[in-house]
Amino acid sequence: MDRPAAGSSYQRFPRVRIRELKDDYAKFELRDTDASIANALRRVMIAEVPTVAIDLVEIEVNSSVLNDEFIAHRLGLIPLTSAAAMQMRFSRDCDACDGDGSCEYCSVEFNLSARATDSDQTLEVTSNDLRSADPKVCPVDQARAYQLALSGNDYDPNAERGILIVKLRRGQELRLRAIARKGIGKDHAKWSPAATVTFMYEPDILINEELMDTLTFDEKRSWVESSPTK
Amino acid sequence: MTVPPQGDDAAKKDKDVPPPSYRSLAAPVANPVDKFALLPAFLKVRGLVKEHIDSFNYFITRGIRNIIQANNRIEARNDPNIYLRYTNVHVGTPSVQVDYKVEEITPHFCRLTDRTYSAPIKVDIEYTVGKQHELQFKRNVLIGYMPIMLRSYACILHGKDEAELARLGECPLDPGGYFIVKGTEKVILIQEQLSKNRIIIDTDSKGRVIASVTSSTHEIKSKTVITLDKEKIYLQLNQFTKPIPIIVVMKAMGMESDQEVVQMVGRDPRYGDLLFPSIQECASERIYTQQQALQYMDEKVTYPGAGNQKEGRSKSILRDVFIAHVPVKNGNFRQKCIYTGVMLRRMMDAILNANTFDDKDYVGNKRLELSGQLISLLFEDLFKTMNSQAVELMNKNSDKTRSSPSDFSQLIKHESITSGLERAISTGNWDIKRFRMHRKGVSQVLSRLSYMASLGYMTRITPQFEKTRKTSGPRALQPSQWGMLCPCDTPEGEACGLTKNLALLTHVTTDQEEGPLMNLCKSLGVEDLSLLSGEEIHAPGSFLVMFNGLILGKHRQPQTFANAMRNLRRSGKIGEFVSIFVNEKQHCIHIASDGGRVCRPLIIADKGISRVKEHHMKELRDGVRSFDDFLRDGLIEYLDVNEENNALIALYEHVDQDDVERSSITHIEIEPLSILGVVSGLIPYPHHNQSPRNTYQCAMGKQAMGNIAYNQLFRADSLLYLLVYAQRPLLTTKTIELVGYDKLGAGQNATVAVMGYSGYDIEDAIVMNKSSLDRGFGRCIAMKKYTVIKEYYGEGVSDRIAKPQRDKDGALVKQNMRALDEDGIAAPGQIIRNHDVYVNKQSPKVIDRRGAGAPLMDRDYKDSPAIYKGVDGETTVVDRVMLCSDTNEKLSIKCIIRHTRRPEVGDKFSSRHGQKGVCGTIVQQEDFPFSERGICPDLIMNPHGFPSRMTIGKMIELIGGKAGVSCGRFHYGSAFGEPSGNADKVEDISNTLIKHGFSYNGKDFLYSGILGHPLEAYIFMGPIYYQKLKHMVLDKMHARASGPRVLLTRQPTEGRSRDGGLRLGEMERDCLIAYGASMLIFERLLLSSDPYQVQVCRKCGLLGYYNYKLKTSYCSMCKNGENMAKMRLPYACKLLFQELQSMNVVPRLKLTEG
Repeated sequence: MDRPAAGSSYQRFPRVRIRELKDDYAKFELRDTDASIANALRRVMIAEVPTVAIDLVEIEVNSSVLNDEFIAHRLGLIPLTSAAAMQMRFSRDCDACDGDGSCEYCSVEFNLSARATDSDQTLEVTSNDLRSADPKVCPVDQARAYQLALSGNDYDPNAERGILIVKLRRGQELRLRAIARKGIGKDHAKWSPAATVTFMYEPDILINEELMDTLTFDEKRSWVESSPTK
Repeated sequence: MTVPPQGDDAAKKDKDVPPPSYRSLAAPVANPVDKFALLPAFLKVRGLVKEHIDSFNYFITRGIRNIIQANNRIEARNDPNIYLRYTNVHVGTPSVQVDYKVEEITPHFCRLTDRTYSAPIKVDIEYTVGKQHELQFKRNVLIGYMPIMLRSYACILHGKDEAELARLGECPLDPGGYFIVKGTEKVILIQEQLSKNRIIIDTDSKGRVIASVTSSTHEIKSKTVITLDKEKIYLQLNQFTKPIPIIVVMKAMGMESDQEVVQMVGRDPRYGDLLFPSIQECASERIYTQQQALQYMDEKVTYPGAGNQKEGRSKSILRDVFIAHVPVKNGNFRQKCIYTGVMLRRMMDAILNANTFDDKDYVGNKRLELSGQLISLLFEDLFKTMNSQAVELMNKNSDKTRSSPSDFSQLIKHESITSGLERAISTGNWDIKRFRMHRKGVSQVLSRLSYMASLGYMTRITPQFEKTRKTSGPRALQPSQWGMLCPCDTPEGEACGLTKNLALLTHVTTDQEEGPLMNLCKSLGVEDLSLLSGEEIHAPGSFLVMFNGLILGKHRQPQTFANAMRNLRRSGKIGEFVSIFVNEKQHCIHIASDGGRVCRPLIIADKGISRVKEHHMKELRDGVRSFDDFLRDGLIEYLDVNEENNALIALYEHVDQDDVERSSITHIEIEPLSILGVVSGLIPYPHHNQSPRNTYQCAMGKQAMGNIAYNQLFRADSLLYLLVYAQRPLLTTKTIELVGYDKLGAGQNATVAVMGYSGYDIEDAIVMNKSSLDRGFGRCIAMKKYTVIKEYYGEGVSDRIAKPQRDKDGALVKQNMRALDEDGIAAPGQIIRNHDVYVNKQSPKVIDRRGAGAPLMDRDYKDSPAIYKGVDGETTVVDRVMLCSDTNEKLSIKCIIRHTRRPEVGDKFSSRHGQKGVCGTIVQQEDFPFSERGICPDLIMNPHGFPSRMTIGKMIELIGGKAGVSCGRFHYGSAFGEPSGNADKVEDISNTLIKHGFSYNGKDFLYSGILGHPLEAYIFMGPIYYQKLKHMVLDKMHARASGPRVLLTRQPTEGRSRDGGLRLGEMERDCLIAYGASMLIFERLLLSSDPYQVQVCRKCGLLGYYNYKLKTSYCSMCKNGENMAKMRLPYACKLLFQELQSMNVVPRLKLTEG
């Protein structure tokens, strides 16, 4: 990179090259900048990217072994598709509902109703049992299952088992209404979009060719073998 | 210790088998037998609290029968033909009698309804009726209810499998061994005491040599002391005012010849020299015959008068009190003489050779008293009381009406035994009249704070003597407690070293029948004492045979005799807990079959070669062989502390030790980790820690929150702490698996970075990751029980539960009733806040309604609601509401209120290595350091915690845990487990780490989360099991500006529960005085406390009063209002003056103008 001339701006032009991009994984190169920018990106990704997560749970019936707060906490941690998060409002500054966070602009309602009826098997209540009022916001594995089903190729409905919320024994019931809201990871980890974000310096490896030439072939080979990334 | 290469040796042997030479035979066994499986087998057979259950089982099957048999006949005083005889006794199944109907009860039912889990004691009786004394029989007569130990034979849980237990509402991991009395779980702690009926040679406080015996029989407990005072030997007994010269005692027992006395002690001239002054003293008193001796002693009796006048007081004392456990048959005192002789001989041995003194702290001289024995003492007392009451009633009846003597079966009242047992267990006060025993704190409430806490209670041993003594002897670690008592698990502070805990494999014996064993000894060549002269008894080469403290006789070939006895034991012909101990120093063979000895199982080795072979272990693994089979086949035996002295015990069969002759090894340890107890067994790598750290962890492991039992959500404990996401430790030990801690964990695996961060981590504080807390780390549930009783005042007058009042729109009149259901009791699932009502109870205004005919109306009731006192701003929820009728048939309403808490600054956490710390600060995840893999620690611990604590075990736990998560296998860290493969070696762990791309030393390359630059050091990071301790800020924080005051003194109240003030105490006052801040002191001590304005009469100096109507002050002493002055003083001061005046002390105030 060319150094800016004296007196000119220190402005730099970082470049991003995406190496790998999957639904749940991204890897990219960041160039022409320094670690502070990389770290700023990391911090923002963890703490300040808005997402949607269940924030309020109204429990109608809960005869499961887990108590209400327990289930509410587990529901909150279920990742929801948050593509719509940028269009949503934060409940605290939503005019439509005076900040009580239950209007269509700032919230999405979920319903869950499960009851283990007969059979001696325990019923596993998972994120797949959550019914969303807004198709844009739903548990991520539901969304993935939907997409796979759409694409049609080798979709196995049993592969996506969803995230376990609670197991019900015969006769136990769980019925609740949950409201998902927009938020950021700084407030609660459930709004953090990433499981983890990290970066590393790309090593700049210079090989002393002159010395390299003094090695025998076997030595070169073992030198190559010793690479940790191989 | 060296471990021989294993694989190579085996391979070589297969190829060509060389002829066995001396060398090859002596070489260590190549493939060591994996004996570990014996441990779970042992615990499967015996359970974790086997000693409690065994002891109680012994009592309800045999002990109670012996007691009844010993006192089986009661008869009327004036006519012995009117009698009652108990022919049989048995303890039924736990039940309760409701309206003449017997209902079986379960332990869980008792816990929930505050009942006692007890079973009827039923006897078969024969008794006489009427004037003709017709014999009548009655079966199954109730004499009382016995509280039943859970999982004992009489308990309905006995022998039930997991599914059946679950159906009964019981946790399968719960060990039992405790009682349920009035709904609370009570443990009768193991009591430690000096062994009974044994000679102990010691020195007293004045440095005199003493020989003491505490005799204990069914009838009497007595202590006999023989002292050497100024070269003369005396007998001390409470029944004599003065010490009696021992030769006089011997003469009084019929041994009139001095020569015989000397022979009894032994013919060694040194003994004679020591005995000479005593003989001389006796001669100088001119006592030569038995008659003279008894006369001499009669004068020294403490309470002359009562007693057997015919044969003289002192003779009966000698017979019944002096070494009471030695029997006197037909007035023959010879046995006692011999016993006294042996006592004297032991004493003189100790004088001649100081190392034959007995050590009172030696575990072999201790006996553990268990619940069965304690209850049996109590029961015998109560049974005798019941009988004597019956006899008394009978006497009274027959005195009154001569016509029809009633029969005894009507006079047996079962209430006294029932209530006596119940009261003793529920209060812990053991009062036994016979032995004048008054013990407090024998039973304690079983702590259900964590699973470990309750297990720890079951293995606890409490000392008998007072804790205030500063002596270090009994507190020190005793070498003889190896394998029997846990070396780590003891409390800190005043009970340190006195309160102990059993080790994992310890067994405590119960009594065994003596008769057959004695006969067996005789037929094995023990020569009876009565045939021997004193000369022969002490003949060189012959050993005295002592059986449970009694001298049985002598044997000429002690080793042969001992071996014969041991072989009989190994083949199961005599009880497995009989101990045979050859004491070379005392020339004695001690055979013990009494209860309360501690012993442990060991593998028998023949000349260093283990009897347990691989095929045995295979059979065990296949389930065709049980632990009892090992015992029966003579592969394993129990050794008690004394017999261990005759054994040479190797740790491992295949390990050679330099200075030990291999062929002299007699036993092999089952597993070295069994020297630790249950609670210390959950520390990983304890052998790498500094010893006190393990002790600290033992105390803290009991305060850790986690899962308590499988039935924890159905229990009704008054306070219950649960962890929301309790985990099983990544780094486990074998003990953890054996006791079930992996199923009921009390902690979470936290990724810990050992580094300094933010300065909020000094002094052991830890920095926590906020995102981890958001995701549920350290989250806990606190459940508290609130009980409301609907009081019944008689005659249809009782409290009532009213439904919440509503106005005509249906809105609540009082907002604090929002948690209530329509029945007036809080609804489960409702959020309940501070000052909310949870039971809307109303009480009648007038309780005494005799004569008032009309039924109670609404206006006759006043509100007396139960109001929830919580923390403002916290959300608590009503978890459950339980209604039941208590033992007094009153309705009791139990509301359980639940509070889920996330960790906050100031909450206490601890690892398993005695390293506690409070949460110093909570930091956002993005500010936390992170590795290139994206790993971000859950908490940060300051490295200064390591150098002074030296908890290397924690470091190994960290890298072991890290290897565990990366390779997906739980690693082990059992105590001393490296040689046997029960603990992973650091080297192997390092290799695993390298294989998964970590540094071998567990350090990681981290970036700063704040700036993004790499940290300048590699950070030691990995998972460590962290416990959340019960001490939480929320329960403790307290502040007040102004608030309630005490009525009497008008000073602020004391204590957090009463919203009390914070006291500026004496020391703080001293500081302020020294500083000179007088106005501040004035303000704190008067204005902020209890200021009061008084009127003082300047003339008489007494307090007057202010008349508000006339607006004048008045002195009631001088009868005028002149000379009055106003002043302020503390109300407490004014109160003092008035109280003094009420006692005719006149405090006068002298005022000067200020």
